[in-house]
Amino acid sequence: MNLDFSVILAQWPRLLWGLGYDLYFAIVGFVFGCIIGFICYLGLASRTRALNAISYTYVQIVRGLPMYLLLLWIYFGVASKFGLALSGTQSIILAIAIMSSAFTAEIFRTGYNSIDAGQVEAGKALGLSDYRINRSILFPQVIRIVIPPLLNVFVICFKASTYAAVVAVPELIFAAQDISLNQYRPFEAYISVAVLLIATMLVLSLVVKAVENRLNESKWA
Amino acid sequence: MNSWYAVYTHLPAMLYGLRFTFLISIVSLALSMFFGGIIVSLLRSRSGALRATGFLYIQIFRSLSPYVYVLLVYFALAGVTGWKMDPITAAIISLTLLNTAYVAEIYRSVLLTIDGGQWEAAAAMGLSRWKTNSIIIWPQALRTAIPLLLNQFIVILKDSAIVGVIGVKDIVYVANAQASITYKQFEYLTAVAVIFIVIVFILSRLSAGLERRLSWKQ
Repeated sequence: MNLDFSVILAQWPRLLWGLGYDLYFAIVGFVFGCIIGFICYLGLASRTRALNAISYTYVQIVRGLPMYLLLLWIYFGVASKFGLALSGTQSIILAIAIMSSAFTAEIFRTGYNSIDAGQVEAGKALGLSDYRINRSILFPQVIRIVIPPLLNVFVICFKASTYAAVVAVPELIFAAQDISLNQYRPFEAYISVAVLLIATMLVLSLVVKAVENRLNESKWA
Repeated sequence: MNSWYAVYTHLPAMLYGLRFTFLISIVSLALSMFFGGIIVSLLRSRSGALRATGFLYIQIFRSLSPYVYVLLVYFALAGVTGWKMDPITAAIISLTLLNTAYVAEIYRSVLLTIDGGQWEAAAAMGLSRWKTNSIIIWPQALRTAIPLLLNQFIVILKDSAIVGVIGVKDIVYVANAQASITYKQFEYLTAVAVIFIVIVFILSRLSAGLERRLSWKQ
């Protein structure tokens, strides 16, 4: 077996673009995932039973779906039934947003639960509205608690964004498949891509660690 | 309603595909439990080099998605070693490589819950390291780990949906193939989704129940 990485090196801009695509899907999907997750949390915490039930069912459904199946369902299923033909990019972003929303809803829930109920009571005693209590008292504290676990979800989103190759988006894995088919160099192509992904993940997890430490040391009394 | 009837008649074939899903997941979990034990022993060893090896394994192997793994194992590894493995073997190897890292993390966290005094007590009784681990530490650790391992099994089960891309005829593959012939992607994929949701819901309920039953009474 003689390895020849020159074919891969000749294609490096494509691989870098692919990595850029993956990061882009992860970031946009993650932002939408946080928004959907927060709405879900509001449903879970609301006093209306119907909203509780809807949010709970949504989270259970999303938790049970494999990422690959969710992506196929959005890209092929919805298009075939309702004629709503989303592009590959839109599909992967939507799939990442939906997949991560189940995680983020749970993170917001534990974040809010970790705050002493006395603070809400104190806010009420001061005559603040529910919205004001949330915005001025709870949310600023919750956001600090949830940042490290949310960043972990971002790492999961980045891993999941490689599934975009399934719907023919020219991201990293798709580029590798293309190179391996055209140059017949599967080992070199896939191993290079794996190394790129692992390096990115290591950098991301170092960032997560750094943010975590930063939040810990600047904790208020 | 008509379009769903086709899915209904094809349901036995799809459920038959589910057996590959379970086969791959169960074997991968069993192998991951074994290799995870080895990795966690590396992490807890006295030699710095072995600890670094275990740490690197976990860092590196959990950073790829199962999709990358199946491609890497089935196309790249097979190409470079000349080993003509069948898709199921490749799927099991992929999911084992990935989940060994996660299971090692589970073991590490449950071993941390065991009071340090037990090692000292065992040493005071003159038990060897092997005896201490096999009759005192691990039986307790595994008991705590059971619900966590069941959760990991759920993750493996969901991850195993990807093995269709290398040609394992699992439930997603069977449904997708039939859907492409009949142009009923929505119906077939929804049916598979419902099956997955039901299985995952039952298993996560089971895991939550076990967690309550197996928790140590104070």
